[in-house]
Amino acid sequence: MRKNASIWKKILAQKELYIMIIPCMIITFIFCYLPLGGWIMAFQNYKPRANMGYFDQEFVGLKQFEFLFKEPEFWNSLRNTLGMSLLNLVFGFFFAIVFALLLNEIRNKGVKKITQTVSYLPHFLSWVIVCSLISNMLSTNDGPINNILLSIGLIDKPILFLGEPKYFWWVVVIANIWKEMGWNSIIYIAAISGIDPSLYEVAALDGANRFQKMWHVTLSGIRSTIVVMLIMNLGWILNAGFEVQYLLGNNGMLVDVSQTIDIFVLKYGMNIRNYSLATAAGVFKSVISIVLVFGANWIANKFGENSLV
Amino acid sequence: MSMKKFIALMTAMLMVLSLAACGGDTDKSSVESKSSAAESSSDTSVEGTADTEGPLAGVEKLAGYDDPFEITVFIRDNGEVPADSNPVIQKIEEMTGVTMKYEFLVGDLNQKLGVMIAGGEYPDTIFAGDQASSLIEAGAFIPLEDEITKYENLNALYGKMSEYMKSEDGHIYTLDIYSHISSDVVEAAPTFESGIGFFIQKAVLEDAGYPTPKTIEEYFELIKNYKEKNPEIDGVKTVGFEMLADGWRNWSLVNPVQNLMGASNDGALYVDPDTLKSSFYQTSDLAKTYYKQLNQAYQDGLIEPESLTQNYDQYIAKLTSGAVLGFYDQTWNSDAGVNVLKNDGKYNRTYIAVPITADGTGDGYVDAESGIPSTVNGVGITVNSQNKDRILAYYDWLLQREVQDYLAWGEEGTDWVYNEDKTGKEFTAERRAIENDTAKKRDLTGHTLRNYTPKWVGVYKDDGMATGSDKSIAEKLASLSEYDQEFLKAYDFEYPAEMLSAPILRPAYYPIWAMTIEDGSAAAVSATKITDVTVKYFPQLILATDDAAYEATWNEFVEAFNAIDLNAYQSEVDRQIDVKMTNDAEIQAKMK
Amino acid sequence: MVKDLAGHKKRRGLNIGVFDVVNTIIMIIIAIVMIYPFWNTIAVSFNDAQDSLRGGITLSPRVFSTYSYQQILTSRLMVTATVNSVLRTVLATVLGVFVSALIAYVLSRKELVGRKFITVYFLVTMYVSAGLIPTYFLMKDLKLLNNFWVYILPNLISVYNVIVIKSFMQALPESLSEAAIVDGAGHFRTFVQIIIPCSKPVLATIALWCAVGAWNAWFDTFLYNSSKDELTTLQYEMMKLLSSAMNQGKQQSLSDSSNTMANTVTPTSMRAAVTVVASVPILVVYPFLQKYFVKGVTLGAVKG
Repeated sequence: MRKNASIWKKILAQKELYIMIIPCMIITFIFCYLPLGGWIMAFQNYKPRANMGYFDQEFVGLKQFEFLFKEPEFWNSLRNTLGMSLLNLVFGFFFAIVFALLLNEIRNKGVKKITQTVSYLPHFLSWVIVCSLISNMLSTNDGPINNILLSIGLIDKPILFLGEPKYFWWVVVIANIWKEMGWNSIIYIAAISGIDPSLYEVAALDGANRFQKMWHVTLSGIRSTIVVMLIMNLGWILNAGFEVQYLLGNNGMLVDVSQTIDIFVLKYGMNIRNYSLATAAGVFKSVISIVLVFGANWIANKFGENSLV
Repeated sequence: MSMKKFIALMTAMLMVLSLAACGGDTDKSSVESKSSAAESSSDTSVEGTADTEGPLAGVEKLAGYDDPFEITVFIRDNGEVPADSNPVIQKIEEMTGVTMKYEFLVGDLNQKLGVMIAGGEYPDTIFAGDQASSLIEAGAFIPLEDEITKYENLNALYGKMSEYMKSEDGHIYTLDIYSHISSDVVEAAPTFESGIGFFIQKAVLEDAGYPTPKTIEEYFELIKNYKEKNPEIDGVKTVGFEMLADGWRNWSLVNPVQNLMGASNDGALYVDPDTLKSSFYQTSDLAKTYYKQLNQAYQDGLIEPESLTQNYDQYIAKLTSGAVLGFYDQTWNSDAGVNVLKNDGKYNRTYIAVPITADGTGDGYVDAESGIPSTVNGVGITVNSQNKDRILAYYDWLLQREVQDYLAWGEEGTDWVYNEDKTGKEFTAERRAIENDTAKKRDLTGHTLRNYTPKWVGVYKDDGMATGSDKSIAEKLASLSEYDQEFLKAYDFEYPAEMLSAPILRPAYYPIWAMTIEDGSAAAVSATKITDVTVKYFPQLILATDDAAYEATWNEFVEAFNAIDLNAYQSEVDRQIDVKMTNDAEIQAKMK
Repeated sequence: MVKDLAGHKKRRGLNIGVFDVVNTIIMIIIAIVMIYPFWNTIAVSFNDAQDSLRGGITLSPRVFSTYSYQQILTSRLMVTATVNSVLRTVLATVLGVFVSALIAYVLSRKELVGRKFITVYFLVTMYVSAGLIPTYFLMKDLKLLNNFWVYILPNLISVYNVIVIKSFMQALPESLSEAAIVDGAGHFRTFVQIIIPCSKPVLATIALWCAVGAWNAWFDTFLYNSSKDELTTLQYEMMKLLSSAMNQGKQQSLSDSSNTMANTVTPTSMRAAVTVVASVPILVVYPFLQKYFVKGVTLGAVKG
């Protein structure tokens, strides 16, 4: 390609790439960008009506956003969401990666395969089932956790785990790890299998021991995957979900620490059919997500890491 | 399944799919019904299409039965469609030409209704319960006030009380399918047992010589004494008083105070029956006393802290043990656990509601059936339906006594028999077994069809027979265990509800919880907050460590509660009470 | 590799041994902890429904019963639902993996003019959502209501998957594709013949994600296709059975006071049986894909 070739010439030369990508962009436009016109609902007092366009609805300006930002419960929910999300992100990533690394070191093929297969089973259970098991384990009424703590003398009377705000976030984090660790590690296991075996040979020649190989070859081989996953998931930090919090923390004693934005929106939006409020909260979350993702991406670029864009 | 069959199935599916993908909407039969309303239920039809034998012998077929059509219906309940082989439903289809195509709710009702209304994609008919108001507001239903009078049976059922069925705009949009409605045909059935209240284990009462506790003190006293005597029941540690505060199942935590004041299950406000003035009972002195009493019960070891954090499954599991001496609940919620006790034959471990009030007199747990239909708790015909007349004619046909009896009771001899003195009907043992088996009940009886269409509810005036087993004292007595018979005899009761005061006829506004609060309004927000604050503080009050802590928490609670825009909610409730009472007065005047 | 290791074997023998033992023990503990909830679910699913309400079932059924399974397997639309679910899973996986890989390939080409813009264009969609009602309007306008394709088209492009594949492709040696392009193969051929075979581990992962996602989806059936029995899916039918079991308490007290409730379903037993029926078919997929995760196979093969 000549140095002074016009941009159009370049594009023409890449026409095959464009033929490949443009239909995909159109599909994305139709299914993702087109319905965003519905965000106009956030500035309305939307009432569902058949045969009524968005512009026939009552406009209320920023009323929905005002309600959100003036409501102390919303800020409380935001705090809980961020708290649980960050803990989930940090510990979720940590355990999934460590599990993938350790699994990779297993020599016995049977143990390796069984552990790998078994570890992703909990992903297929609904939160209802997992939470019901957790409630039973944490029960003060002959629950195994309290029984163990009592028998080794750590406590002298059962702890009401699901009635004490200070334990709740950690219960959620552990529940998440239990349910999703194996599933989340799949991508790292796949990434590890993509590492060039000759790198291990080189490391061995350099006299690296096992841990050094884990650190310098395996971990650094999947580093770009980790960074990419981390940035992408950072964007979902305001989606701490609602199921596990609803199922484990939906009692008055925990509501201050368990209510997430999603639950708040469910209560004050969907459940009283205020679709506009739900949309406003959605817009808010989208804006924050995009800022976070591109911010994180920018930082990753600064550090020379492999990033999204 | 053989491979061949499977491949054939796949091919068939692919064909169906490709048809669907082509966007071809399958046309329904667009033939309009020519049948007039009068024909539908008259027995002077020249055609003489009635069977001469079988379950519906002598009943004329519905005009137009030879021109089959389908009624699509969306139902806000979770449920399952009866099998195509259901003999009762088949018989009805054969005689009417009408196939009901049910869609039961799966997932969240608000989401479903939201998109249904926004998209205007309605089935022929909808039963949306109290959420029907959004559909009415959106203009989804057609007015029915001029239609009802055209059909003999529909008019007999709804005509007398039709003024009550009118929405604020003066139109009738839904046909009530749940309530007993005053008419010349049926009267209210007696209440067999209370659906709500403070329940106590029968063994506790038996042990204490069959007393009738009337106050919280007496109630806990009985429980305490029994627990001291029986620290374990069947190897399980005895639990004094059980509660449940799991998400929306929070009534045992927030509701009792209004009952102590003599009200029933009204709502977030107490309404004085004489002056109709509303007030918040949550912060009343009585509430302060009641939660203090629970706090005392907690300190006495009668309430376990886990009661306040447990989920529904754990609660039910506790009830199944038979070691729980008392609880406050609504029976449909606790039945799952109590049914297991019955299954085990531990009838002495089952429960009865007792008349607990603050001052020990005049409890109001049981509502008399007012005979007033609800404006929303019914099925409506949507603007999308092409078959309005045929649907109404079908409903009208179903309301014939023979058809109703067939749907509710089945065939005489095989499904039901008269009781000894011929004052009532009871199921045969075989039929009772079917009733207790969910799948069989759905696939062998007319239950689903009757449940979601207009029906008679109560006791027929002409022969005193109940419209269905749920209204039949004869059936209930027939299915009582020996223990229960003895137990009731000790009190000299015929049935358990006699423990409580006679059913009370409520004012026309009743109940508050069924009022529709405008979507997304300030009142709706306040209502949500009232629940949030009470659910948050009441457990803290119950688990308070000492009197000082109780006082401090109470003050904190009152402050948080009063910080809510209470007026937004209360004024809306007051307005609706006022509107309904005024309407009622007008209707009463008109009816005279 | 073996030769190189052999030289050092003696020196590090003990060290490795301790680590291996500890590591194996850790893995076995993890396996036990992870299999417990599923095992417990199976035990509950084979337990008598009424008895399950008592709680306390751990490793084996207390009162054995297959009633819940009978109810599920004989339910009305079971066959249709299974066929639809299999069909949508296969289609969504094949199309989803191919399209995602295609986009990832284009975005991984450094020479692409406007690459940054196009990447951001896709990326943004991951974090914005129009909400329930606008999306419903779109499906209605596109005539996708009561239509099988609503299961496939809206979820065809998963940007999350695209980014994961892209980051993998970027790590592939550039020489691989450049050689092909120099040879005169176009981008599409390079993509199909060189890049796809080299990306097997990541594509296997994405295939798993797509398949599990499509198989587990029920919300689209609920919103868009619920009034058409022919288009129902297995997960939706399972939700139906479960929610109807949850409604049972209410129904029972509506009917009458009863003595024996021998044959009935309860939410607890139904939930367990439904979980087993709905997840076992998809669980089979993973071991099948596992072979693509075998260390170094792909790259080694290409190089050789």
